[in-house]
Amino acid sequence: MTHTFDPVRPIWCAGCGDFGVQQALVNALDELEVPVHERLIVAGIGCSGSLQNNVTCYGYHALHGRVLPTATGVKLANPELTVIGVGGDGDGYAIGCGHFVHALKRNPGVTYTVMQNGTYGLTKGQPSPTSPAGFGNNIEEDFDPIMLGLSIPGSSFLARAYTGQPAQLLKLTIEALRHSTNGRNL
Amino acid sequence: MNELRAAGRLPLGLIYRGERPALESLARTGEFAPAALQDIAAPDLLARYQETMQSFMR
Repeated sequence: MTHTFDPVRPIWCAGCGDFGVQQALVNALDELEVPVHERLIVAGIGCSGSLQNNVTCYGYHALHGRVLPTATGVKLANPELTVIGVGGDGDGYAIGCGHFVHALKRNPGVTYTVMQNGTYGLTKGQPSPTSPAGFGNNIEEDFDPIMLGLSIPGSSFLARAYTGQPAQLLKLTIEALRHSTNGRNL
Repeated sequence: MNELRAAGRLPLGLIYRGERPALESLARTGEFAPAALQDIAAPDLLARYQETMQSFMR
């Protein structure tokens, strides 16, 4: 087995849904028997962006909002890797929203998991693009990434799960990884 | 989906699965290996690089 680095202790708060996403991701990679040296996780900025520190894999902590262009470049440079992008709703749908749209258009063989909690958790709870109107002092309507994905003909795998339902989350993660590694996806 | 959202319900599960080929399968021509998989120990690599660079100087 190729040695990459030793995982570190998560920094997330007790009860955070990020634990469930990480567990589903690791279990899915093990279920699909993806070798450790072929796992690469590109992570965004924010609480969820520390996920790759906790997992035995190759990891890359991208610039804020730049998970998807980085992951796309990795996949083009080495299509044999299983490339996974992870980040939060702030990273993916605020500063990274332009890249999100174009990644859906380009449809790279990458699995992108957004840990969506409807707020900027790391910076103490400001409204994010997915915060509903009425959340704190937010007067804007929220953003639905699935509906955006459905509006782009290039997108080829769209799913939503809840970390409180780990069995469904695991099943969808496995299906997303299968889809992204068989020449399809995003 | 709009109706579900209006009712305060978020649909979970697989929403859409298409058949469009992935970017890398369309972008790769087969003429060259992907960048990270190229043989950087090939003995003629430097000569080919110099030849390529020379071709841009007209």
